[in-house]
Amino acid sequence: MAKQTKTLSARRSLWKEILRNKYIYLILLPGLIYYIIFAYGPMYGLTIAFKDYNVREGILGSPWNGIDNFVRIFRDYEFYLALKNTLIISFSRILFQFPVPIILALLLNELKEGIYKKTLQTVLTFPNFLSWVVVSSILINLLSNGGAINNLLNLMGFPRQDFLANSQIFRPLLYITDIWKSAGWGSIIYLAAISAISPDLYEAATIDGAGKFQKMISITWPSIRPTVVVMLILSVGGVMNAGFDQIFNMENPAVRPVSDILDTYIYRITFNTGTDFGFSTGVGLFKSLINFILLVTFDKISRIISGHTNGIF
Amino acid sequence: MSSLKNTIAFKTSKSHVRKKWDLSYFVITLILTLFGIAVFYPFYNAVLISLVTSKEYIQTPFMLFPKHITLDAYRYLFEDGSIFWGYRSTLTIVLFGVPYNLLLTSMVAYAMSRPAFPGKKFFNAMIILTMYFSGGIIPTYLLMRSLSLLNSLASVILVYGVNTYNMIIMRNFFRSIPAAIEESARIDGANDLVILFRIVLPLSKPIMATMLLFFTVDRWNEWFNAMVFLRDNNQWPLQLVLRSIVNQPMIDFSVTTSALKNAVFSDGVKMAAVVVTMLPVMLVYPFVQKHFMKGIMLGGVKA
Amino acid sequence: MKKALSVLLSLACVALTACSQSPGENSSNTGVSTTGETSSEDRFAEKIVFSASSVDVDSNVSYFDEARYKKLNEMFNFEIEFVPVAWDTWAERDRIWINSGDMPDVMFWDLNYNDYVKYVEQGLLKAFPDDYAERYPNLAKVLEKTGVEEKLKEAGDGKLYVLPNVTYQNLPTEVAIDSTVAIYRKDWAKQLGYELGPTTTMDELCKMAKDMMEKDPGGNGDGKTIGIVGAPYNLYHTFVRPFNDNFERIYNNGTEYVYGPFEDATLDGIKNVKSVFESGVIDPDFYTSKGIEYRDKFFAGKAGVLIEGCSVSHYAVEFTGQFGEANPGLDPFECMGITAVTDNEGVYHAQNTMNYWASSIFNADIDDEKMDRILSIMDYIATPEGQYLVYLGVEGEDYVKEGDEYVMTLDANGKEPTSQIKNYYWTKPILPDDWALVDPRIDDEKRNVVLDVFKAKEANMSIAMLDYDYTFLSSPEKNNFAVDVTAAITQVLLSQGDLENEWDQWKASVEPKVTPVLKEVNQELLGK
Repeated sequence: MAKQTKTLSARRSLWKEILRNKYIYLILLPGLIYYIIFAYGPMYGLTIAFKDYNVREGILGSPWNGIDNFVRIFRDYEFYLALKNTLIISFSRILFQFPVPIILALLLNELKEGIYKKTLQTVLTFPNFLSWVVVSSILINLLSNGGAINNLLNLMGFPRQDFLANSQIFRPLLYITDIWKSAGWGSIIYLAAISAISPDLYEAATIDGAGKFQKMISITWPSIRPTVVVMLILSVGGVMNAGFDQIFNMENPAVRPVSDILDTYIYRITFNTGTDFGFSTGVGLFKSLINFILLVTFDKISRIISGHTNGIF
Repeated sequence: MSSLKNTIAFKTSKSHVRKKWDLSYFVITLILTLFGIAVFYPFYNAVLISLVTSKEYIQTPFMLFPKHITLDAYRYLFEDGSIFWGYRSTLTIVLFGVPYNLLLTSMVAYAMSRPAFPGKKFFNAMIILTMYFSGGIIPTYLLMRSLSLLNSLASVILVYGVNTYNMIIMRNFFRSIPAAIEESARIDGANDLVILFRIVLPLSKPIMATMLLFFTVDRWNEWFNAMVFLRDNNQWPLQLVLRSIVNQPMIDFSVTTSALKNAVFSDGVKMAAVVVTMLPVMLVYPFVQKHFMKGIMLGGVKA
Repeated sequence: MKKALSVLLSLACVALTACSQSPGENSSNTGVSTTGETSSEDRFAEKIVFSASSVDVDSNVSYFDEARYKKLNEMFNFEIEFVPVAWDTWAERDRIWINSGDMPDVMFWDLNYNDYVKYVEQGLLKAFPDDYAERYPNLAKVLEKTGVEEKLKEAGDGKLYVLPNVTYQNLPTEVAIDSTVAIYRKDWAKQLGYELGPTTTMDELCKMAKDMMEKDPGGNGDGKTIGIVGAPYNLYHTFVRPFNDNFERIYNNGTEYVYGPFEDATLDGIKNVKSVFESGVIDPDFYTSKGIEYRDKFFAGKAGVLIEGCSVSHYAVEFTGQFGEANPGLDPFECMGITAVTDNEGVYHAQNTMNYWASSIFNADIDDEKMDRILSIMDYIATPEGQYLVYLGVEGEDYVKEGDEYVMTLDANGKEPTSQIKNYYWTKPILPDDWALVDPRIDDEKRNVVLDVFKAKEANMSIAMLDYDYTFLSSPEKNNFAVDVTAAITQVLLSQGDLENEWDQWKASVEPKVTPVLKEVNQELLGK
């Protein structure tokens, strides 16, 4: 009896809560409608992964085929290759690319304010806003065998390098070109953290006779560390996305064994080589699932590390 | 009010410790300058290639200044005309798409930045889930058809509404606005709509500027949805047009009359197309950069 | 914006000049040679509007004022809604349209047999009427020439659902073979004392290319002349195929189906191309070329030899035209020789090619009348008269005849005005390769340069015949079988490691994919 009244009052207070927040729901509504129509509206399409897709019968009417599609996926060696490359490339990016914007921020911070620093920052951050179609056209031209870089090597007496088709060079090339494109922009977030440091700290350290490097280690680094940790967790959570746009635009068949990632593989089997949408939808679903599991895991970790109840998301 | 502005105002102008000219400063400047040159040269090189003849390009190993300038590549490109149609579509998409993005995203971000309200967890999960799962191309295409949006720029504009990642950055920013301000407004009888549009958004100019940049860039670089939804090539946005210029036919079978395919110096035309596509970004960016950087520095990932 | 306007204006000008010419009927193309039975008046009384997709068309440009369209419209009373596709995304868009049941009434489609079987099964394509051979006799001839009519009907339980475009209505050889040749700088060769016939052995070709690199007759500067350029596949066709005719495919060796790349002879071929590559004769950049960029190096005078598919139209129109534009003052026909590259015994290793490329398919939901109209127009286009109309245009409007000369009407820029109707792939049930064999504007002498090479190939060749049973077998493993052998060869070719070892590794990696297919194919086709 008592329990019932309790739930009743709980219900009543819930209703009150909802009423109290009615404007919040109103504000959320347009976005919610957007998500429902454009994100959840097509979501039923994921069932194709478990179906033998037939256009006439439609997505809902197509016959189920259990896990047939997945059996085929897990027998495809290109799938494993793509999965392996995705992980290798993602983790290498974290290892090699991740520190660059931090170092860049530390260096930029040392520069005097002025026209030169502003110009430099403009130049360094600019490529981030170009599409990979544009950037890859420029870079492929530059790096090809008859391109400017090889011509320069040649002039200096070094042998020409097959930058674009050498499977040993191609992955590092991906990292370098991505650094080229986005490290400048990436450094801004760390510059923000650095600019929040009180100048008094530096002054005190200078009085104590600390050198530039010492100040970097003992003042600058500790204050940007939280930002670094969060950025790191974000990158680790996104390992299943190894950079579709970049690879899609820069690869060629000669390097496919080292460059084919899940996303480029999915594109290819969807539009070029594959024969049915059940298969490609299956690969996509697999990727999403792994990604999601990683996300949840790393969100938990970030809550623990930051001691914040909100996590990243 | 003014005290609030002070708390979140950005401290770019604060006086830095005097930086001295010494060896380490020289080394740092050198490293950064080299990096700057490495970033700059490829663009310069692209512009050069678009301006010279194929002969000069092939015969000059490392070009710093062109000997003869020719506008042939640009002439080929403009004769074809498709790049202009691309501009028209892209500008339309930016003009209508970006406000749509900003409005939707900031509204969702505001709602999600509020302290607990019934259903918040559910909505949050529902939103986050879409970052990882999507229905796929065919059902999305069918959706557009049922909405009669196929072959209309509206499809490309509408299908990209809230960017969840940007929403999170905005939400974090909104959270950092002191609750006191909002409470006093509430006591004065303001509801959430008023608070959002009269108080929160005006206080969030830097992050809105950054979001404006992000969404503009996303819209500027859009091609995939356009490829799927738009039939007529006079609707294709710039990037799709550019792709069809730089990715020439892969088949060894072509007897066509297209001006582009008969272009003798394809590298030149390609680079001309690249230059024409990035020119507006190049011209505008240096002047607006300052405002956007402020926003990202403030909004950042503050977990 | 101003520039956009000027483009618009110039387009308008083109349209205006097209209509300002007298639209008078010309008498040489009299008589509507349609299919006969009913008078075409009744049959085509009602105007039909249909949508059709194609590359190389432009939705910004109206075709209504084109003489070609007017002429066709007079006969068939129709309008087309263009659905343009771009070369780099047409495969993607075709797939999206078909798989969402939203294809145009008639679609330009890169015929893929496995997809064809699936689409037919699912009822996505409209069948041709059973009596199509009587109703559309010219299309029937096209179909017969493609060599795949029966196979295509088999997949549809006796009904036909697709119209492949025939490459050659007048085949230059008895069976269709590849058109791959070495296009070389004849002027350089002469300077160096080489005179090549219609065939040349691999060694001779490499020797000449090497000479061209070293002696630099083009004056590119020391070490700047490239020997041989070409797309990877064409290079392997030239330097690997002589060792194994089936180096890239599954084939029936007489007793069973085996995988050519696994055979030792293929490895020998790869060793051969590797040694050629390492001798420096092949463009060190050959694998990075996107699309057909590699051709530019030849046209720009940077390379001595271009290995490329070369039909009559390629040679007589396209390649020589590009060469001429890039090298004003040089006579392209004097400077560009072509020769077939044989093995060192003089045997050409040919590939039997499909005599079709791409196709038209029809939306299952269009009515019979619409389909009849479309097919009737295509049937007319497949007549010699129709071919003249599509490729040359209307006499008096698009060209005038001066004696035997065909003088094309040019626009203000001195170019032939582009024609949407001509560019439209749907108007090419007979592909331009064949037109080049009859095009009255091409000198027989130039035409024969190419035909002689075809004949020389045929005279002494070993040929890898197409196996239609295999090609058109639709079975689960085989349908999902895709291995890029060209890419694999490129990889081992460029790799620093031991070639044999690397190739073995590649073989081991694709084995799990190949074995089930071979098993299935042998079972399905040979009952083993």
